[in-house]
Amino acid sequence: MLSTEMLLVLVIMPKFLFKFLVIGSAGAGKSCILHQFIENKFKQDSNHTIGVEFGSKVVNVGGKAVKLQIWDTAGQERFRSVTRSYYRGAAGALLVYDITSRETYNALTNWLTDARTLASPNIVIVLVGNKKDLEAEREVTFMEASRFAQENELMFLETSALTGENVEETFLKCARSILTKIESGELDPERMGSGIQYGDALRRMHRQEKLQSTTPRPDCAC
Amino acid sequence: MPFFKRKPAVAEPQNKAHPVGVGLVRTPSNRSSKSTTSLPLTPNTPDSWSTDIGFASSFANGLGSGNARPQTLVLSESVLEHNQDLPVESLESPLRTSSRLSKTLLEVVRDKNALACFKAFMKAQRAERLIQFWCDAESFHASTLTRMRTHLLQSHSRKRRTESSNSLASETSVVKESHSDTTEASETLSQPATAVKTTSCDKLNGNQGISHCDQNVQNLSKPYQSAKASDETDQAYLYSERNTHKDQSVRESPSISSPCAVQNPHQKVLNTAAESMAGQSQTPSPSSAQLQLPMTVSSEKNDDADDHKSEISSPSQGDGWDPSEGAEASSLSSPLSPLDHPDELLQKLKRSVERDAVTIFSTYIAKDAPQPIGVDDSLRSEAISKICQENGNVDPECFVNCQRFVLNKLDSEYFQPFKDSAFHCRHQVHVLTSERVFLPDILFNENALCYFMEYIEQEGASDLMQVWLCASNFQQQLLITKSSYDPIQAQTDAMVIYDKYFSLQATNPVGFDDKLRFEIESNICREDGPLPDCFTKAKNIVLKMLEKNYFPNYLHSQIYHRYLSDLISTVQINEDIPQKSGSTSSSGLSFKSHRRSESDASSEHSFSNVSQGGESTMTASSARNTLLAVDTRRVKRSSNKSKLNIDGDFSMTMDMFNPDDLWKRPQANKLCLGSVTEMGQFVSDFDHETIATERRKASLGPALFKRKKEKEKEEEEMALRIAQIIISDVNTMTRTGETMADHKGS
Repeated sequence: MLSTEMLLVLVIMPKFLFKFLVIGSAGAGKSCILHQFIENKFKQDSNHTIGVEFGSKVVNVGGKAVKLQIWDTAGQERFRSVTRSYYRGAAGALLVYDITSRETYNALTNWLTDARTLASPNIVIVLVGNKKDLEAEREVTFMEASRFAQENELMFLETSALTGENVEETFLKCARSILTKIESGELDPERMGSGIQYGDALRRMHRQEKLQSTTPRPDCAC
Repeated sequence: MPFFKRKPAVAEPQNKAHPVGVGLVRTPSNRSSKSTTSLPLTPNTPDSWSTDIGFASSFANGLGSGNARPQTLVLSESVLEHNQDLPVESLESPLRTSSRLSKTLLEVVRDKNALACFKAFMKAQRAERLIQFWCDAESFHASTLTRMRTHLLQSHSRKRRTESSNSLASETSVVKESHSDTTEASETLSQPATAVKTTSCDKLNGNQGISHCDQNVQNLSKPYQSAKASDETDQAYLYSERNTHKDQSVRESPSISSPCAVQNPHQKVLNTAAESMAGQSQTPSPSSAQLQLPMTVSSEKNDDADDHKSEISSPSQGDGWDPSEGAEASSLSSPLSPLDHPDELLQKLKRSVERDAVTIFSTYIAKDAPQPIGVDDSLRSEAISKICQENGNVDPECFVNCQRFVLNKLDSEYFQPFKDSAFHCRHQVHVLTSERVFLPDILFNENALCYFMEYIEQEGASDLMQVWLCASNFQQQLLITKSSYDPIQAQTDAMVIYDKYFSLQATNPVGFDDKLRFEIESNICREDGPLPDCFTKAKNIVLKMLEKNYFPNYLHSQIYHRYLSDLISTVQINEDIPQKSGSTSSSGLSFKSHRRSESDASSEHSFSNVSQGGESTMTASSARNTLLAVDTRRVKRSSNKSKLNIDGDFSMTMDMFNPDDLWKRPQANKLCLGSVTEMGQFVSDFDHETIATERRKASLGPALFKRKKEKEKEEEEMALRIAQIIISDVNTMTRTGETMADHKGS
């Protein structure tokens, strides 16, 4: 028998799948953010990532269930050429730096260029200043980073993978922005490489609307 | 051992984060010696898992969630046993490291279909001339070499012929080329040629003249598609007949010392024929191998040969050649008898080559070229000097540097956009539907991998995929940074992977057996640091497991279907001519009316589906699809179906209700979702079928529903409620209230 719980699941079943990237210099806490997001706890003894790791979670964005398929890349320079191959076709990206390390902040431009050129051109990028909990050791001010974000048309948040502050918000913000872009037509999810997969029902609707608007009416009797 | 430390002002993160001392202490052997009893895999005795390879049944069915790892999964070396005989780069090999879905530019220009798609893309970019030039220059290069070689061989054989009629067998093959070239030239040739052949076939006693004649006639009418196309097929043909002979790719000296001195009683004849044909040949054809014998006849009657000449002389050239050349050529060639004037022939050959070169030059390279490809002055003058050499010959390589220039330009400016374009998708659809799909095709293409990853995750095997990802990234990284190999760093990296997947206390154990673990341990602890192939064996085992246990089901899965339809819709939408051609448009339209009239039936049907879905696996598709891991998810799935039905969508329902019809992979050709026409438009061939299935299903629907209704009224009510929720949900989502009104009414 169907329970109310099942009914709930029915209503919130994922309608989209977004491909997300997490990029940024080594030690910025990318894997920890991902771990915090998925497992809701801080990963104490985190190793560096070899190439790429993978995680996913279903989130609720404005009443719509969206599955995020997240590719967490290695920050080490030596993995750069390897990880680049996973950029393609990402819908969203978290560009992570460490607020206690100016070096990771300075590298942002490079990461940004990579993301913009290699992933889909419409990629939505959120700038994430991680390790917010280490306020005492801060090297990059909020103002400075948010100016950088503004100049480069990024969204900006400061997070703490340790406390979990703003972690989920970051992903939600990015997903929300992608959804908005889809709704406004700026992003075409039907395109291969957009980093978006439709839940099937929705896709069909979308396509039918498109067909109706582009094909001649059936009056012409063929 | 906390590896992740927060450091103020990290200068060299990796080095500091993983102090050398610590990294070295943490060797696998230390680890295993410390191993305790609370290990995830210890319940299985080594004996039991060395023999039993496979997965728990619950796992294979996709019922295991991400966390419920397959405890009985055993990954041991024996998995690889059947795998040794395939070369790594062969198509079937699971160890292939490239995908046919992501070809490089060079692969694209060497692949017939990919090249066609690329040309279409370039056309859309209004830069067709670049690729056009490349193709023209390529066919010029190939044909010039062929012709020069032919000529050289002829002059060579002419000398010998005076002494002996037995000569090089290799000439025969060269003659073959030139013959086929000529047959390409025009269809008018086929008439006189066959006439000659049939009349004189009896003269060639012991030869397969007649049968070849027939084939020949057929082959003659084959349309010439592109230089590359013929290149491929040509090679295939030649390979079967005489695998030493790869005509176009042979670029070295034209002198072929024949290794296979087959005696041919008609050698003399052939030589003569070759001469008569020389000079007109431009490009080889797919039919080359078969054309040999019938054509030899022509030399028996020299008049006929001459006849040929006048008829054949319009050269068939790569796309975009100037047709006026043909007329010129025929006027040049007509009065000469090649036997009597070998020098004349040479001159003619030279002139024709020169003409071709000049045409290409003036079309693409000259300063006032109508289709400039943007070469700079140095390249231009180099091309000029190579065309107008002092000895009067045209260097066949004269455009090679320009071609390289164009390729670079294409690569840097156009190739990336092409890969993102629908044209590339069209090629991918072609690859996926016309040939068998192999795991590497999916793994080495980012988009395909994205979908596959989603499937693997739903199957609960994402750790397996991650092992593969890590291991191949590790290997790749070491190979790329070979010059700056740092053994300590490599060992640290290897240890990260080891700790995560291989160690007895692995955080994400996937079930490798002891033997493999020992091997990897010793690989990691190698004195000079781990080698790139440290995890190769493990990687290959994983690959084999993926291929055996997941990939076949994946190709039948809804996700793969979704991938294909995403590709196709990208093609369709981009082309902006949605279902314009006759067949598809009519089905598209009838689909709409059909949907209206039968919406009741389909939604009823979907209700019954939902009610069933709550309890058990119901249709073949859901059993096979194993899309969802837990019970609640299965409900999701059926709701998914009901949504589809409410939408009136049927391209998915077909797959759901009779998946075997559609997805019989062994006969991959049957799987074609459609084809791309010459005009580059995608024509789907499965709309008609779908309608039929839809009808059948619709007629079944009410009956099923009634039976259900009598039995389980409660459930029906529940289903109705669900449907209403879905409908309202869909309504709000799409803001197209009126389309949904019908369904609500039902």
